[in-house]
Order: sequence, then structure tokens, then C-alpha cells
Amino acid sequence: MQWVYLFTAVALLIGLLIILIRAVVGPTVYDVILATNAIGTKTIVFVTLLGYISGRPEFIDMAIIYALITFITTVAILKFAEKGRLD
Amino acid sequence: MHWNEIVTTVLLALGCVVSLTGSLGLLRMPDFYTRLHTSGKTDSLGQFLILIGLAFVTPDVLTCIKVVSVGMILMIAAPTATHAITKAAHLHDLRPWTRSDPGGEP
Amino acid sequence: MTSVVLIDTVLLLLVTITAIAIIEVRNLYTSAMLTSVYSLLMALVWVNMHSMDVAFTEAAVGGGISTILLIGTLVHTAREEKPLKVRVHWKAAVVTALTGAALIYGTFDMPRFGDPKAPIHHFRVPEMMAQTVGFVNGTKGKQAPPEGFDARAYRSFNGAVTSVPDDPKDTAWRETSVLAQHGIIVPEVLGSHPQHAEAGHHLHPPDDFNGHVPNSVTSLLAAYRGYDTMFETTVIFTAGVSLIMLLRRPRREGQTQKSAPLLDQAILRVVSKMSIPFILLFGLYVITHGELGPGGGFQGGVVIACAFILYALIFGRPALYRVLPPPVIDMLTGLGVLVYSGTGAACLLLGGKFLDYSMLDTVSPGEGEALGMTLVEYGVGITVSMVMLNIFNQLAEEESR
Repeated sequence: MQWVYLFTAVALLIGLLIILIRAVVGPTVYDVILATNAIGTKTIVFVTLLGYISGRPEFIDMAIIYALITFITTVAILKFAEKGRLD
Repeated sequence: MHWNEIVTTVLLALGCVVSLTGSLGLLRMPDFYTRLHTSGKTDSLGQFLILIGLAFVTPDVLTCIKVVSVGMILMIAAPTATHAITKAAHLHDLRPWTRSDPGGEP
Repeated sequence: MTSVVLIDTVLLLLVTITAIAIIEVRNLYTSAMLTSVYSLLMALVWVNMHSMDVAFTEAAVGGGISTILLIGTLVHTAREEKPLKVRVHWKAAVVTALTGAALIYGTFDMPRFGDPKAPIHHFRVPEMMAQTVGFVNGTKGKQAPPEGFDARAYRSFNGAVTSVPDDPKDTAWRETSVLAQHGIIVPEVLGSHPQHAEAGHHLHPPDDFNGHVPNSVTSLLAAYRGYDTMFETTVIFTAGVSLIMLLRRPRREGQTQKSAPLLDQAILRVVSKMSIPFILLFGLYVITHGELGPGGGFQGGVVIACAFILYALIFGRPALYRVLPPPVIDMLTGLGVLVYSGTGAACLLLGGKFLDYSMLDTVSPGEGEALGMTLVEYGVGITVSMVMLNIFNQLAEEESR
């Protein structure tokens, strides 16, 4: 089972790397927002997976906080892109 | 291998394929809207498959509920975020890519 | 190569790429977003090393609130970085390279990654991890005090070991020690660490948690170095107060609040409205659950602040002010520090030392410790969340004048 988790982890890491290239390259601001959001989703799954790799599934609390926090960050980034202000 | 481990392996493999496809699409597609089209759908589905797959091998009920609830949060939050990004881009007159027009910011 | 090292290497590679990109990207907005990515990846590194509390903080503070605040600063500055005139400042480059080399040289003296002989695995932490400090004799979980247990003597014991055997492996001294005479059983783990039984060695005072506080990080932060954490909270409080003094202007009569709510995004609005209660609930869970699992006042406070910030983002700051008027935010900022120091003072009034939580429960010191730590975490959480909210409000308000 450990190998299955590890292969999934490597696949997710490759995905992270690819998305990271898009986040750095751009070209428009919306591409970067999209890539940041995608990295957020990938990390959530990765945290859960790390919990299973190390045999401590209670790491899942982390994944919940990631899911909520990345959502709020995306909304803030988006609001600035749309309105140019935060309130 | 126990039956639930087989289910998990299949679901994880599917999730990997789907989410890698999405990542590749995000890198290779020509403009913002097409990238959004690949990554927005595959991200939600791929992550959900992986999380549901992991839920099958969870030892206790509470953690299982938590894994599924993370999946549910993702299924709600990720499409919402993608939709909001698209709407913002559309309102800012970001032109889509066509054969004659490379698209981009106005 | 274990899976931990493999994943760690790849993650650190990604972190390095992100860090270089943050420096190189001219667009400050992109750079702010990449900072969030950096924090998320760094939190993954911490999770991989099993330091859950650090990962929690990194995700909540680095990935969440500091990105929002960085974007808040972008409102006041330009979106593009000015191009540098000098490409490379050679003197600075040499100094930086030398400092970096010295730091890397310094790491050679550190224990290797995962080294079982590292000091951290030998001194106090094993006792805390095994939950065998205090009077629990090598057992895990919540324990009733042993028969004939003298709570008063237990609390007044100052930790001095008087009789020490010649042979460190001889554990008979434990039965005849001062502790045993006071009805305190010395944990088994001391016998396996002979340096604890050296002459003149002081055992740590019995402020320990007996399975009531399984998260050793929280017991370290809130009890072992409780003064430290109290002053950290005070530092955050001071930062909040100085920010108010620097940025806040008195509001004139009849001046209306400007704001730009995101109400036209219907789906976003509905989803946020649904999720805010859950985020608040989860923040409270993180604070309350701090002594049992990863989390605590700082992380939970940040999560709660994020929930209010989400409300302000979607419905505008005037709506937030109807829920939490600025005077209430200011009062709550101080209340958190008051709760923390008040818990300490309560211990003092009950006859113990400042922040000696075991005083809070007359029967079981362990329960008292758990209760005191929860109170303290709430104090930290209130102050942190309100200071973060205040910073956000001030940054947003500056712009609207």
C-alpha cells in the first residue's frame, strides 16, 4: 500500500511542478490566480496523502484548514483584481 | 490485498491520471479560458477521486468523516473559486483565443 | 532513501523555485500570490517532518492572513516594482555569500535529519511524549491520583533530588526519595535516563499533565514556557495598539463609509455565506482542541479572523462593522491578554505560583492544567484574531479616505 501512496505523491508533485511553471510564467494575472488556486487544491490532497504515508491519518485537520484558508485567499486575491480594493 | 485496498489503488490511479491531465492542460493550452476549462474540471474531480480513495482505507470512522468532508468542501469551494475567477476575467474583457485572434488582455 | 527524504527533497526544490520566482517577478501582485504558494509548500515540508503545529501556523498565517495583508498593502502602492538601476551590488553580494556560507557551516554541528541521538530525543521531550511526567508511573492516559496522594505536598515540591545512588541504574532511590515520602511516585522514565539522577540535579517541578494534555507542543508553550507565550501575546497586542495609533483617524460626523462589496458574484456570495459559520466553528475547534491535537490559540485566532475578513470581502466593511463595531474589536483585543494574565493571577490567588495551572482543580492537578491551558489558549485566540482583523480594517480604511 505504501508504494501506491508514494506513486500518487510523486504524481501530485509532478502536477505541482507543472502548475508552478504556469504560476511563474503567467502571462495574465488571471492565469496566476488560477494556478495559485490549483496549487492550493493539490496541497490539500497532498497533506491528506502525507498523513497516510506516515500512518497518521489525523493529519486531516490540516487539510480542512488548507481548504478553508485557500478559499479565503482566492476570494481576497480576486476581489483585489476585480475592484482594486479590499473592503 | 484486501478488497478495499484494491478499490483505493484503482481510485488513486484514476485520480492521478485525471489530475496530471489537468496540470498538463494548464501548462499547454493557448489562453486563459481553455486553461481554466482543463484545470477547473479535472482539479475538482481528480482530488475528489483521491480523497474518496483514501477514505476506503481509513481505520476509524471520525477520520473517514473528516476525509469525506474535506472532499465535500473541495467540491464546493474549488468550482466556486474557478467560477469567480472566470467571471472576473470576463468582466475585465479578457478576450478568448481564436484562430485569428491570439486573445489576451484588452 | 526513505519516502520522507524523497518527498522532502522534491518539496524543497519546489520551494526554491518559488522563492527565486518571487524575487525575479516584477509584478508585485504576482509576487504576493507566489508568497502564498511558498507558504503552502513550506507547510507541506513541515507536515512531512511531522511538526503539525508549525505546519498549522504556516498554513493559517503564511498562506492565509499574510497574503491578504500583502494584497492590502498593494492597494496603497504600485502594482509594478521599479526597475533596479544597479544590477549586482558586489559588496552586498560578498557579505551575503559569506553569511550564507557561515550559516551552512554552522549546520554541520547540528544533529542529522532524523538522528535518534539528537538532544531533543533525550532530555525532557520523551517524558512529555510518553505522558509519564508527574505522578503517573509509566502509564498513558488520564489517571486518578494514587492512594495517599498529598496534593499540597505535590504542589509545594521544588524538584530537588537529595538522595542519589552511586550506581545510576539502581532505581531503589526512587522509593526512598523525598518525592516518595510525600506520596509522589517518580516516573519510570527517569530510571532510564541516569543523568536525571545526578547529584544536585533538579527534577522539573511537577507541573505536568498526566495524559490530560496529550499535545506536548501545547504543554510546552502554555505551561513549560507559559511566561514566554504570555509576552508573545502581549507583543501582538502592542502591535495592534501601535497600529491603531499610527493609522486610525477620528471619523467625522456624517462621513459615510465607502466600500465595494462583491455582491454581483451571486455564487461566491451564497457559498461564502454558507461557509462562514463553519469556518468560525472550525476556528473554535482548533482553539479548544489545542491541548489534544495540533492547533491552539494562534492558529485558531487566525482562522476566526479569516472568517470575519471573508465576510468583509463579500459584504463590505460597513456590514462587518454592524456585526463587530470597532470599539468592540478594540475591547476584545485587550480582553484576550486579560484572560491570559487573569488565569495566571487566579492561580496566584489560589495559593500557587503565577500561571501554575494545577491550582485550578483541587482534586486532580492534571485536570487543572488542562483547564488552565484551554483558558489561556482562548485568551491568545481572542487577541490574535482581533489584532489581525484590526490590521485588515486599518489597511482597507486607509485607502477609502
